[in-house]
Amino acid sequence: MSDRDLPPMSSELRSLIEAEAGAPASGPEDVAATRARLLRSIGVAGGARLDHTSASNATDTLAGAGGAGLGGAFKTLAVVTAVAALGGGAYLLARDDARAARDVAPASASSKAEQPPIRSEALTEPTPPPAPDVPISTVTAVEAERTASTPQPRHRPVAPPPEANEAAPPDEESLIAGALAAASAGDFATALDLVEKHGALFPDGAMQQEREILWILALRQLGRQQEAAEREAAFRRRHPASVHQLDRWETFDD
Amino acid sequence: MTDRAASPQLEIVSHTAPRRAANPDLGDVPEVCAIYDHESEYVFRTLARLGVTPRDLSDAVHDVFVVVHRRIAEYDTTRPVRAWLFGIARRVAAAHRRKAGRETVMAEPMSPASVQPRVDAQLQARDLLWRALSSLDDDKREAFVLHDLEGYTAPEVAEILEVPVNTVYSRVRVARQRLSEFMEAVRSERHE
Repeated sequence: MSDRDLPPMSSELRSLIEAEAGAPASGPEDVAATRARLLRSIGVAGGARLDHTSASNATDTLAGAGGAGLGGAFKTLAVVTAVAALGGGAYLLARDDARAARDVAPASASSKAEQPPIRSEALTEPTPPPAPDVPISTVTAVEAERTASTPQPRHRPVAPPPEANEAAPPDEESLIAGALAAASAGDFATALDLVEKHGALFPDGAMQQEREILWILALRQLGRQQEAAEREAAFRRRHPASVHQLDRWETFDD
Repeated sequence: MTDRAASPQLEIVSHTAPRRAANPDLGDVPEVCAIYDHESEYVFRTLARLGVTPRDLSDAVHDVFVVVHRRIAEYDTTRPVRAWLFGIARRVAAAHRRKAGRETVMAEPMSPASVQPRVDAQLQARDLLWRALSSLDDDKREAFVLHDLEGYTAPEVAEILEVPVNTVYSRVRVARQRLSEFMEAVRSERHE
């Protein structure tokens, strides 16, 4: 038997299929909300416990000390970033909405050119130990996984532990604020670690410019001048008109 | 029009320069996020095509990616990521269908609430196709979606579904016939 033996599709069915392929299957709110929920589930389960203490300390550091102890360059950065990170929900919401809208694939989702390959760096690295039983909100995922693989123990816990459900997901604001707090305290290794996390989780996030500035600063402070210069050049190319750049950028060279 | 051409593969980036170690406490989360950001629309669409109700769609997508996270170490990066996602999605969809019940599937409007206000001819066509697909048996629906909507060849569908090639042809043939009958019934209702 071959394709030629199949009955031809009616023109009506064919046009229905073409129309369906051009219509969106999801709304931006659904995509963004599901992503956030997914991060809550797998972020905690995968061990992605972020240092929210340092993140929350950022507020105290900035509000209480006004950037005291920072050099002139970083004081400027602190103000810039604080506005972005701590300046209120409206800013974040507006930019998150924009990001969510970008996240939705083009309606047809049919052109390879529209979908760049997924770059997955960590897949080249040693496989981490298997995640423990993760919080899953519905029974169906457990059920589906069980049928998708070799038989598994029947008494698999389904209900998530309460503390896991209540754990906050890694979010942009916490990561950037935490990085800022760490940099304020002179702990540039931690700051670098946090901006790298941000880069991994939110590569096109609403706070990517703040992340890049912190990243470059941390690299410089850690003596990694070549990497800092490369990153700065990339930032300048990507954001030639960044509000973070022109008048404030040069202070890094102090 | 089929979706297959749009299916990317995970691109492995080789590191030629020294780099800092990845954040060990993040595990595979960045990879899952990357797949989600590129493929969530495909997974939403696939689950809807496989009969998951709009009410359950977000839950089902979440569940698919939870499984992705658990099983990402097993993913064969030489295969298209969508074939792998489809294999997970069909099982999640089956579980959700069992939970929702067939009667509910047929009774509900098919548009997710968030896109309902943007109803136009395309969306109506999409909803009609999804409703038509939900009238099929699971095995025929899966074969039809892979072969006629996603553009896989019958041998490829056979590999994904782990059935003989002739079974694929048989299922696609029956699916086309039943979908045509469904369309005929809809047309008749409109004219009454």
